[in-house]
Amino acid sequence: MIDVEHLVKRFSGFAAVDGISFHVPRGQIVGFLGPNGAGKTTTMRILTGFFPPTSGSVRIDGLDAVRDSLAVRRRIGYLPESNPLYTDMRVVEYLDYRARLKGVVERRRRHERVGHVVDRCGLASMRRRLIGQLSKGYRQRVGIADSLVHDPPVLILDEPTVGLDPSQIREIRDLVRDLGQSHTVMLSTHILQEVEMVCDRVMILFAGKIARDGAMDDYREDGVLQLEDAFLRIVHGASSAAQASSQPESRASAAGGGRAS
Amino acid sequence: MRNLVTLSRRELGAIAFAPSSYWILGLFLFVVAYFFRLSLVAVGGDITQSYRSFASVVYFQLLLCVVPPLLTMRSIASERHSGTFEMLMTAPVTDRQVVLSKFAGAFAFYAALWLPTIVIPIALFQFGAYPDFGQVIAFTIGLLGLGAFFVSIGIFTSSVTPKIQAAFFIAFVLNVFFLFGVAGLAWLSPSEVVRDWASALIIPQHLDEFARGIVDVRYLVFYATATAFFLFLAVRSLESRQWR
Repeated sequence: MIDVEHLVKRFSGFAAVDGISFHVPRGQIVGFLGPNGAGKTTTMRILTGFFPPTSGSVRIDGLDAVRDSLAVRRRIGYLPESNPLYTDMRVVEYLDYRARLKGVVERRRRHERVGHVVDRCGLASMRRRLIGQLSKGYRQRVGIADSLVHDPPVLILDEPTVGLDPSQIREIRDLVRDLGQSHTVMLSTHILQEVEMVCDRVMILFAGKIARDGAMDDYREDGVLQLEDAFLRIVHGASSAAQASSQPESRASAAGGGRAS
Repeated sequence: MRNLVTLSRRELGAIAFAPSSYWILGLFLFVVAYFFRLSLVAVGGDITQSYRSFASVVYFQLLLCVVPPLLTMRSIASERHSGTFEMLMTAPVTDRQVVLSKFAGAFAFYAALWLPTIVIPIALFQFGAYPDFGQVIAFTIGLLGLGAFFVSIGIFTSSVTPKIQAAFFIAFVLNVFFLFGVAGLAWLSPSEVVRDWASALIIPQHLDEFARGIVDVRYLVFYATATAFFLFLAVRSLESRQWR
């Protein structure tokens, strides 16, 4: 469903995504893990057509994300990291607007889709509320309802539970798990527990590269899930390697008697 | 086309929903009514002359520089500022549709600002004065043409910065340049070519002709071309996220 080949994205020479490749089959829920700045959001923005890659290719449902960008965007439901919404619109009005924009043209079908996502995301009591008056949890639901409203086969959710309280996190998590039964889902998060509970497969990104990619069972050692260990080994391993490689340099510069100053 | 209508309706709705739009409407109607009355008195009640006199009032011309950027400053800048830009641009819409719809929404509101001023010629008619409706229509066409030009400048400046105040200020300065600065070029430039070009583009002179009831198509072509140019720049500005 999602095919990514040698994807590179550079910003002013800096490689935010540095040659990643992966394939996500239909119906899989993939967790995208990584520290801040690892390239998760950049990858998701390329997949959703917000900007093109510097090189490499992305195919969604067989379509090229650059050449067939509009068709690809119709097949993707995207929840951006900060979940930006028009706060001056009412929930149903906003979802109807978004459905129309995403090609749900026929009025009856749009009405049906909006009604469906409102129920599915637990927004029935908030239908007529202004989005600006909603709590963060409800806004997050509106964001997810927006990503679902045109019934896309692929969902890309960038940190869907960030800033929510524990009960809201559980609700959103249950919703995502439920959605995974009928959609291909890519989910980025910092919460390892969330990945453990929701995902079939985990990709750990570090410094723009895929440091590890495997099914959830691949992260088990002696029957116990060791996702946190795997994550920390990658992050700390890289930082101690960087430290080790910088030490000979600092010794060399000390031996040089501070000439550089 | 369907996307264009959907986006334009949303844009017009956003402007119509903002309380500040009604302050703009109030200010606009006050300035127009007040200076039209002054102009009418200044020319001794001669209605035909009063339109020309009104068109030459500097405060009215300044209003034309201020109002379009007030309507457009939020259009793209606030989408960038609040992050809704990402949500908008990952929907199946093109950059061109987004820019055109922002323009259409703001221009529709600008045109709607002029609607209540229809009471001016009607009131004059009621009081036994007979305005030349051809002249009123010509003046309105000129103001709409110029308005389209200034709205497109505002859409462009709103596309280059996420700061709303900066979008307003740059558009205002550009409008002042086109309205007043070009006349300076026409008089002061050492180059004869620049003087020739600039003297054809002195907007207060255009306004004077429209206010006399003359619709000079060359001026409308200039406004249309300039509008297309600034909207093109706005599209390129949105596309720039793909080159970075």
